[in-house]
Amino acid sequence: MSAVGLPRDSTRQAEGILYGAVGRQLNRWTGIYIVGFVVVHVINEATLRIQPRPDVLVALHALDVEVWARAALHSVEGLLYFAVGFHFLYGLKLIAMDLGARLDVRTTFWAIVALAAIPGVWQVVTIGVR
Amino acid sequence: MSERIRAEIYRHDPSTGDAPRYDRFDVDGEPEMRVLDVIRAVYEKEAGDLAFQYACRTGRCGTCGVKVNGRPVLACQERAKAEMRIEPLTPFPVLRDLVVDRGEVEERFRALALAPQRAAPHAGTREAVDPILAREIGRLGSCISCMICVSACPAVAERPFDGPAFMLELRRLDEHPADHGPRLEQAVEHGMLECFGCDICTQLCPIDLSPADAIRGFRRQVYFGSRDGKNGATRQAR
Ligand code: HEM
Ligand code: SF4
Ligand code: SF4
Ligand code: FES
Repeated sequence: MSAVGLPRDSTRQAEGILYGAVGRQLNRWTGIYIVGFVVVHVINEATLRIQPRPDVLVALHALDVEVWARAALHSVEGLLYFAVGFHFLYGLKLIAMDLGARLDVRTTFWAIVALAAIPGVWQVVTIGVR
Repeated sequence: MSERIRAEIYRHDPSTGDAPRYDRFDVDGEPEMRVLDVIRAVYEKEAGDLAFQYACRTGRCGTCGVKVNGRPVLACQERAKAEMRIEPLTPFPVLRDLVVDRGEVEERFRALALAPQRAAPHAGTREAVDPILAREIGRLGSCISCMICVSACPAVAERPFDGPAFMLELRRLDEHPADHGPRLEQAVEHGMLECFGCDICTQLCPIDLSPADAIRGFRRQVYFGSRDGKNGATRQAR
């Protein structure tokens, strides 16, 4: 902090990543991504017993269950892990800061990205990219 | 070092009815050249009818705000880039070229009644103020109203929110021991709860202020109430 009479002690430049902008967009898209998965899953579970099964429900069931078995779509699963991790941690960060925590925008952004990436990376390491 | 700087400058005179356009100018770059130097070079050598605004050239008056490649900056402080698109500050109405109408901004400041509102008339004697608090109030009062933060704020763009700079001013008065105005209520009324907590305002403020911190101070007051019955729930001198 600089003295009162001289509030600006540096020539601050506006270049570089706007962490808040990236973080907020990621929070929004991860939230929407999770909503997408949850909606598909809940509707599928709720309609499992409907007989005879119309084509839409068959397709929905395939989307909810068989997606995970398909080789090409493991990245989708890894992304879901990242989405849940990022959205959860970023939301916690916002709440903690509202409650009085003093956290640096830049370090928390990278910490949250790194932590959220662990489950997806772990999956690739253990299961391999199929 | 001398490189060519290519500046695309927004040109528009609403009084003519012509559509806005971008004019391209090539300027000889010099070391440490700022955006304002480029604008002035264009004005002096190529476009004498270019409207732009500045006064202090030292980052203190807050009148030279423009958008450079989409990001709001003080033209006198931001280093010139090799390729620049220079536009007037959004979301304010354009008077001409890079000059915006600040009438609504001034009106908002006026409506917030930003002088300390005393509970009782001044006693005429000196009132002692905690020096750390005095310094904090002075720091919050160093905002130059450049509207960089308001221009960059995503909540202003999406939601009914006056903007970070106004919240910072309300916070300053809330911290002021002599002020008894309903600052928290005013902040809520003017959209304080719409803030995303993204700290874009903090990152871009040329004075190193954090309107987002001011907003979080108000929010803690919403959750926990205030410690001394009036304000200061979150007084934190830094
Ligand atoms: C796991 C615990 C969770 C926490 C701590 C959390 C926290 C938050 C917070 C604080 C916000 C507000 C962001 C802002 O003001 O900018 C938010 C927005 C949102 N959340 Fe969550 N959330 C959680 C789980 C979820 C889940 C499971 C879903 C989906 C089903 C979800 C979907 C969304 C969406 C769509 C938004 C709106 C984003 C925006 O408008 O930018 N969240 N969340
Ligand atoms: S808070 Fe900073 S960016 Fe916002 S108007 Fe004041 S000086 Fe400008
Ligand atoms: S922290 Fe709040 S006030 Fe600051 S730019 Fe983000 S949304 Fe706007
Ligand atoms: S000319 Fe005064 S702040 Fe830029």
